[in-house]
This record gives sequence, structure tokens and C-alpha cells, in this order.
Amino acid sequence: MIKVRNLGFSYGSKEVLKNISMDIAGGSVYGLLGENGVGKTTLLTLLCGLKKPKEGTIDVDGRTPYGRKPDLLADQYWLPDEVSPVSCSAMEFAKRTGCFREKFDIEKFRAVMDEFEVEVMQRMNAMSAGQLKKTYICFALACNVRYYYMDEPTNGLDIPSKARFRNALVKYVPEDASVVISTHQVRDLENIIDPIIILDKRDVLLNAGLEEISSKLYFDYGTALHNDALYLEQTPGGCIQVYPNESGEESRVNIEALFNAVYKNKELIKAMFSQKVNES
Amino acid sequence: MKQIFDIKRFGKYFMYDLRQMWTNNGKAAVVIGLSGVAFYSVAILWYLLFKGEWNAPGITARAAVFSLSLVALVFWQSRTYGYVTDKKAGSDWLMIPASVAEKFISMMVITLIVIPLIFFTVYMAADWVLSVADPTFGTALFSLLSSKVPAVFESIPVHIPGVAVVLSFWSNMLYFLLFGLLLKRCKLIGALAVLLGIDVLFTSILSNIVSSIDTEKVYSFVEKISGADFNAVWWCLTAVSFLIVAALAVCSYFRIKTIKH
Repeated sequence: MIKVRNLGFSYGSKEVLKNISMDIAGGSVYGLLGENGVGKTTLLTLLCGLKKPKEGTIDVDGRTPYGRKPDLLADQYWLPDEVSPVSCSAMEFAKRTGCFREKFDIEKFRAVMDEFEVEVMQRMNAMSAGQLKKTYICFALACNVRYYYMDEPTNGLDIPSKARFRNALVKYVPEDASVVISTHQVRDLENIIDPIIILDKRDVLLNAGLEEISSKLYFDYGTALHNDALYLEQTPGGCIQVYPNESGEESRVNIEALFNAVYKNKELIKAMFSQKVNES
Repeated sequence: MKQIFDIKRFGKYFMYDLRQMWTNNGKAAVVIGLSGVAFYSVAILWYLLFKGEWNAPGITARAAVFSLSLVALVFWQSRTYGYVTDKKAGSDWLMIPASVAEKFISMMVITLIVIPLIFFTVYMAADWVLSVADPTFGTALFSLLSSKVPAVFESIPVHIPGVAVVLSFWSNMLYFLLFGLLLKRCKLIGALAVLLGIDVLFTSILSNIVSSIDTEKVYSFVEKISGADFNAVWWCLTAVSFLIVAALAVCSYFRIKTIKH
């Protein structure tokens, strides 16, 4: 369990995160959403220990990420948006870097690389940006760690690879692992991410599972307009409306519509989902 | 304790670091080590083209090239671990599951022992090969160093401890390494600029002190100490060199510990 309490961070005088509190439980793939510049990447780098919080605390099973103790580093994987082209083959890189993680599985790496159709003996500095990203994704999945922090993992992937990424995530991530994915490409991960965290400047607007979201909000794909709609978007042949679910009917959550509805009705949504977290 | 240092994990990390060093900047130590051969080739070509004779460079020129190579090796340390400040490569490095102490010790062993060892081995081996292959080349630098240099040291009334020479070399290596860890860009220029600044500062302070002292007193002081045992002074300087090495190493450690991306 990751506990974030009253987290604050700023770049010089520019405040990016303030008073952020949330819990991240094991066995889930969290989608971290937010507008450009709200601090999604900053939050991820704070979670993995690349940055030091200016205020507040982050507790990962009793450990502080910024301490960068080897046992926690071995238990987590940080996949940045832009990855570095190492001057060796993918296999060599995997062997060289994987040996630090007890549960690293080289056969799994080979298998995932096969699924992504990337040659394991290809030199990483000769790979395209997409191939390089896929290699890092495969390596991350072969590490079998408990905490994955991924920043825009589908950026640069071709269309088939996005589907393969979804499948690989379901198939290869350990059951008890916490995966936090920051993304703008919500359609790439629509059926994967649950719960969803929507971040705003200095606030967490929403941190809830799809079941809770669909129990409180109704996603209407019909043509009849609803007076209480929190968000309305015209689509070819109809529209998507989001409104409070008073009937208790179930509906399929459209993450893009949800995101826009949350941003348009920040206070209402916050009150609806009551963002209070246990202070302990 | 295992979180601070674990010998098995250190072994793994050291091997990783060695490979990284080799793929990143390690080859530079070999290239700098071959600068003697490059100089020899250029000198031979020069004589052949302009004087029409085969003539290997003399010992003075060879010693000068060796000294310049040594300076180049020291300067290069600003790049050996320079990737640590790069956002992508530096983040990858920070996320390697090894402790700060393990990363630091490995960095010190590579910078202070492995890289100089590669350089000296390559330089001296290449020089020896040339001395065997070309009769005009003269004695190998290594045999000159091992036979003539101790004699030169013995002829000086003051005993210069070998450890002082090593510490002085290490402090230079660590100084440029530290600036490689501190600065994101212009690592070498930054290190040289700070060095120049320190030099200017100390020179001005020293010249002020000297100019304020009565010259008569200075002469009488020099006369008084002319028969004194300078070995003690050398050992003091060695101790100061040791402190400088330790301070630079401590600064590098804290830089590694607190670096953020």
C-alpha cells in the first residue's frame, strides 16, 4: 500500500503539487489523469524517489522512496516517457540490469519481446523510438516487481503494439502489484485502468474505481438530452452525456467524458466522491 | 546494514558499473593511452616527409606527450560519470537497486584505480612495443621511469613521499569527477573556470600577504630554516593532500545521495 499524505512539491517558486493525499492499493492498475502541467510526471517521480517531497510524506509499505534503499528500488520499476538508448543489445541490457531484481525472469523477457515482435539481439541504440519503448516495457514486465510507475507508456507505440501492451499488462503484471499509469491516451488503456485518479493543480479531484464511478455517475450514449447533464459531448450519430446516477442503473464509463465532466464540475465531483483519506 | 552495504550486491553493481564505464567512456582511457603511438606516427611521418629520414621523437618530447596525456586523462574524468546528471540516463542509474554507498565505492574504485590502470598499462605497453620495434626510439618510458626517476628523487635533498604523488593525482581526478557530477552542461569548462577562480583568489591573497611582510624578515627566516628538515613539511603536505582527496570524495558521495531528476 502506498500512502501519500499532504504532499507538496515546487520547482523553485512555481508550486506544482500542494496538499495531495491519496492511497494506492495493491492489485490495481491506476490511471493517473490530468491536464498538462498539473504534475502527473512530478507525482510519479516523487513516488519512485527521483525527487524529494517539499512537504508531506510518501510511505511505501513503511519505506520512504527518496531514501532510495536497495530493497525498495528492487521492488519498483520506473518507466519514463522518454527512455535512453543504451549501446548494447536488448538481451544484454536485460541480463545486465535484471540481475539486481530477485524476481527478474529472463524467459519472460524473451516471451514478451516475442509478443511485441522486437528482436532481443538488436542493439538498443539502433532501435526506433517505438521499439525502444517496447523493449523497456518488456523489461519492466519481466522484473516482476510490486510497484510500477509508468509515464505515458503507450506514447510512440504503433496501433497493434497498444493492444499488445494492454494484453501484456493483464497477462504479465503480478497479481498483487500496484501499477500507476500516467496518460493522456485514455482510449489506449480504457479497459485496463481501474481505479482512476484525476489530478488537478493542488488537488486530487477523483480517486475511485470504475464500479464506484458508474454507481454515482451515469454515462448516457443516447440521443435524448438530459437537463442535469454535467457534461455533454456531440458524437457522430448521437452524444455522450454524464449526469448523476439517480436511478442506480449501470453504464459503461467513458474515461474521456468522465475527465471532462470532472474538470467542469470540480467541487461537485469532489463532494460526490468525498476525497477524504485516512490520515494515519 | 544490508541496506547500506551488501558484498554480493556490490559485486553485481561493480560488474555493471565496469561494463557501463567501458561502453560509455572507458574506451577514452585506451584512446588517451595510445596518444604516445599517435605522436610517434605523426613525428615519423613528419621527418619522412620533410627531412627524408626515419627519426623517432626524443625522450623529452615523449615525456611531454606523456604528461599531456595524463592531463587529458584527468580532464576526462568530468565525463566518465557525466551521464548521472542527464535526465534519462541519470534516472536509470539512480533507479538501479544498489545503495548509495555501493554506487560511491564502485565509482571511486573505477575512477581512482581502474581507469588509471587501463591508461598506464596501454600507454606503457604501446611505448614498450615501439621501443622493441624501432631501434631509433630509445629506451621504453617504463624502464626510464623505474630507473631514472628514483635516481632523480634521490638527488633531491628533500624526500618526496610516493603517496604524496598518488594523492595529488587522485585529488585532480576527483576534482574533475565532482564537477562531472555537479554540472549539467559545460562540465570541463566549469571545472577549469572554478580552478582558475580559486587560483586567482589564492594568488591575490598570497601576494597581499607577501607584500605586507618586511623582506628583511623573510630573508632572515629563509636563512634560519635553510638547514631544517623539510621532510616534515612534505609529510604535512601529504596530510593536506589526503584531506583534499577525502573532502572531494565526501562531496561526491553527498552529490550522489541527493541528486534528483
